[in-house]
Amino acid sequence: MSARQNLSPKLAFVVLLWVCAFTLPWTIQAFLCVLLIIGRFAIPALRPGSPRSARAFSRFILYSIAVATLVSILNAALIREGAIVANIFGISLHQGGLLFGARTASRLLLLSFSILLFFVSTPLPDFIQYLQEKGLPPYLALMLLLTLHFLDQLPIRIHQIFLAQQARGAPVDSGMLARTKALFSILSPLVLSSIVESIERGTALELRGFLHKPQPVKHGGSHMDWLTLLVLSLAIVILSYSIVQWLIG
Amino acid sequence: MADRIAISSFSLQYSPSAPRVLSSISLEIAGGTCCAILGPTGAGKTSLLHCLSGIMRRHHPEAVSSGHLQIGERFFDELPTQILFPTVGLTLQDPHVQISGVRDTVFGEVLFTLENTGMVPENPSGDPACCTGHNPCGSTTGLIA
Repeated sequence: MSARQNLSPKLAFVVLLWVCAFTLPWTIQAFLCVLLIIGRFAIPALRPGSPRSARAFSRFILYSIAVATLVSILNAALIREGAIVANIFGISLHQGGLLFGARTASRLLLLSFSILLFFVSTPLPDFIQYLQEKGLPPYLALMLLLTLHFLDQLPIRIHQIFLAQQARGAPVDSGMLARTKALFSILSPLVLSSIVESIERGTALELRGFLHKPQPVKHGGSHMDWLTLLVLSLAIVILSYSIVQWLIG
Repeated sequence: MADRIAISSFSLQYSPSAPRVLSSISLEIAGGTCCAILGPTGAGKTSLLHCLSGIMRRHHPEAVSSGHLQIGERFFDELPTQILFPTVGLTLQDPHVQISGVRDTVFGEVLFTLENTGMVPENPSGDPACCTGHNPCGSTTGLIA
């Protein structure tokens, strides 16, 4: 049986990154995003748990960078502040708008990268068990479990429905417009089957006494380890410094 | 384990205005015996088992019943309002939802139910082959449940 990860430092790290996303300058946030992408390969605790997770994270990085670039360009075109930095097809891009777009994009990227990297590198069983050990009530654990299962199974389910629609002759692979139209026919069975499966899985868990659990089974100490304390302390220092800076103007 | 299951004149409707899905069922199953309930699709086999396990009221609060149920020492004049774990065990039809997702091995899944009942051994250990069994097949998931 593989050893379970200690999730406290990792969660503290996510908290630290969220604090950074709301307090630090956008250049540092962008730098942290790059560090996270490097960390996904270099730090064992941040490595995706499966090839599917790794693919999903890589795709998300590509799409989100494309969206961030688009957001920055749109802002640069729409917010006409500062000097003109470029002119594309007769549309002027302004420095003020570009900076605003970069700030927004870097913040969103840092928030999404940190949370996504946590989930792709943390096995769902470990996360639920960790929360239960920390005293999460069984009802909340059940709800969270079903939701995360739903998200985990979503791509597989979409693919299955897509294949089923294709087998029944639906024009789902004949161009972008047809695929977009097919999305609507996928949504209905997707939602219905997900609800049914959530009910079934919830019932199965109840039938195995998930909600009757007498007490959490402790696998580790209840005290915080030094790394968690260090990371959380750093988050508090950054937050406090930002609040003081904001108060003194 | 319940030593006896007795059903007498039991009828079920999913709502007061709905037709009866079970009509005046009476049967008695002695403890330690194995009983198969057979019938065509839509005969009410699953509905009966959901009534006996306590799922019916949870999924269909408006369901109405008449007659009596006896499961071990417990008597019910109405549908049980709670899932009767651990008195009644039930494997659902879709084997793939039997895996809790809280554990990632067959051994962990078996241990999961023991933990829920407070019967965890001091140093749980299992068959190594069982411990490493990721992604169990449908029949295995049924056995786990």
